[in-house]
Amino acid sequence: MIRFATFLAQGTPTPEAFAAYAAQVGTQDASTAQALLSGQRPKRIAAPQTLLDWVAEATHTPPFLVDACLKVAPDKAEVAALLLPLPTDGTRLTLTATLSDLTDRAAYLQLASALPLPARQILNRLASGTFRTKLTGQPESSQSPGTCLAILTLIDPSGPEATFALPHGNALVPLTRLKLTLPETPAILAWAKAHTTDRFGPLRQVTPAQVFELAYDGTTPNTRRKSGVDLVSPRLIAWHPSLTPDRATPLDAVK
Amino acid sequence: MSHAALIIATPQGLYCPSGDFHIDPMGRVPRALVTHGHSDHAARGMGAYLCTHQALPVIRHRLGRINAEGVAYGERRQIGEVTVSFHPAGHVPGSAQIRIEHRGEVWVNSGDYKTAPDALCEPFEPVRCHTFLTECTFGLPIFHWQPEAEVLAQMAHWWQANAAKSCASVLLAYSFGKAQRLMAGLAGLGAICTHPVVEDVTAILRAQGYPLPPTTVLQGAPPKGALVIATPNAMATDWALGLGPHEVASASGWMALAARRKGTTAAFTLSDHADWLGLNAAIAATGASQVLTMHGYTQPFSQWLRAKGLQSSVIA
Ligand SMILES: [Zn+2]
Ligand SMILES: [Zn+2]
Repeated sequence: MIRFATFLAQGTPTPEAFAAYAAQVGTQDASTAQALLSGQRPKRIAAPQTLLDWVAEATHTPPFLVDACLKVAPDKAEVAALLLPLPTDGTRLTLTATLSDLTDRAAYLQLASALPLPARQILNRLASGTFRTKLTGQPESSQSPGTCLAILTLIDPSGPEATFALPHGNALVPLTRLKLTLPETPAILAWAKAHTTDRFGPLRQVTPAQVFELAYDGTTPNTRRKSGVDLVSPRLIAWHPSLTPDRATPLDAVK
Repeated sequence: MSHAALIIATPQGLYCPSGDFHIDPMGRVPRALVTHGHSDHAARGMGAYLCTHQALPVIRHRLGRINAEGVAYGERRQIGEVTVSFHPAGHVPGSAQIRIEHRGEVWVNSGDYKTAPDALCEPFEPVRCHTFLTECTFGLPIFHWQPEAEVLAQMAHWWQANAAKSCASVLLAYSFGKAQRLMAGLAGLGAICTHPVVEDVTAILRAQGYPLPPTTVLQGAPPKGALVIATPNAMATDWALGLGPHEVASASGWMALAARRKGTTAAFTLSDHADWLGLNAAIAATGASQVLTMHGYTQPFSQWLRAKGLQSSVIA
């Protein structure tokens, strides 16, 4: 939840920023965030005024003080977020867990009290159905350049070329095939040789364990592809041997 | 037995009739006791000034030739029929609360104050009194400050991220107090440059012995990845044209409000004033039965204090 707030605090969310966020939080939160940013709202549990009433009551803030606060900050959801004292210890709840817990007054007060301010303000917008942020460049083909973290699945040492895939649910979906141009290519080939799981002619299938950073200038829908999308000018940026495959960008975040 | 008021409001500012002096007056008066060097407290044109030794150099720098005298924190002075003393307010270097005693009756004027300590200024000390005059710049329950260390860590992170892009980081802060608190809190993380107005005050405080890191006054482009501390006004001058690639952030208590953050790319909520809980704790620690409010949300804050069972009204 805190990471989602940090991501939104960077300004209008671009696909590039989303990919970086998705790489941090893993597939479950990434797909929850993806749904929120494409306009799906969680069920509203209370109007902003009701949230403010709950917080005022819980903090024993008399009505005249609430009124004085609203003169300074007219947004009721903001005042509701600011009235609660700051948490002494931060919560580690994911975005997905936060949303599934967010059901009633008691749950709201518990969640809000445990969150630092920026995340609490997002929570209030989600709880009151006033969350409006959308990812730029969505349902249409995207002109916005982006990056993603993809997993190496197939390698052709004669190219040398490699196929990269992104997670979609429990499956890995091939995204693009690129020439291996990185200075670490010999090391990558050596790793592939030691981790081949199957062969199809010159192609070797490898353990899906290595994460690579890809950049592209945009995306175009393509229904003939399993991924449903073509990358515009894809290129290989870096090998990230320290990253585990759960850091890969979910396919939905690239589309 | 009830005592006459030791401090009353006059057109020139707060006045102590039994001592025949004003506190932080804005209108010309013969004798001014000044809590600290901010311009809404220390103004030109007074016959004589009295402030702490620590506050005096900045006040002289800002007001020019004045007839001024310094006192030590806690030192007792007889003025007219009253005994006065200055006590740390934790707001900026040298800042003080002023205690006035008259035949066993004690009043304290808080000046501006901050209850949480920082790396630079003399920490706030509660002073027992019958009547406490409190500022309430942030006297609403929407103002809760994060611990300073957390905010400084966020600033350091922002600075490092900018440096990684070969961008300078420009932090906007008030030239006296906040600017030096930032450099003291971020010392040792990289090169710190200053706008000339900030550097003037910094040099004075450094000469007084306040623990401030080395800084370079900035003419032209800053070194790659440097932190630049400037006043908000400086960004509207030609000086800002030489900055090269840079990111700007503001550091103020007002950054707690979304409306104040609008148009800024980065903002840090860091204040030299007490927050809501700080104000309430400070008032409780004085043991005062009467609390008079000034500077800020005086009406609702006073009403809040009355609801808690204290005698309270707005004084200024
Ligand atoms: Zn001040
Ligand atoms: Zn002031």
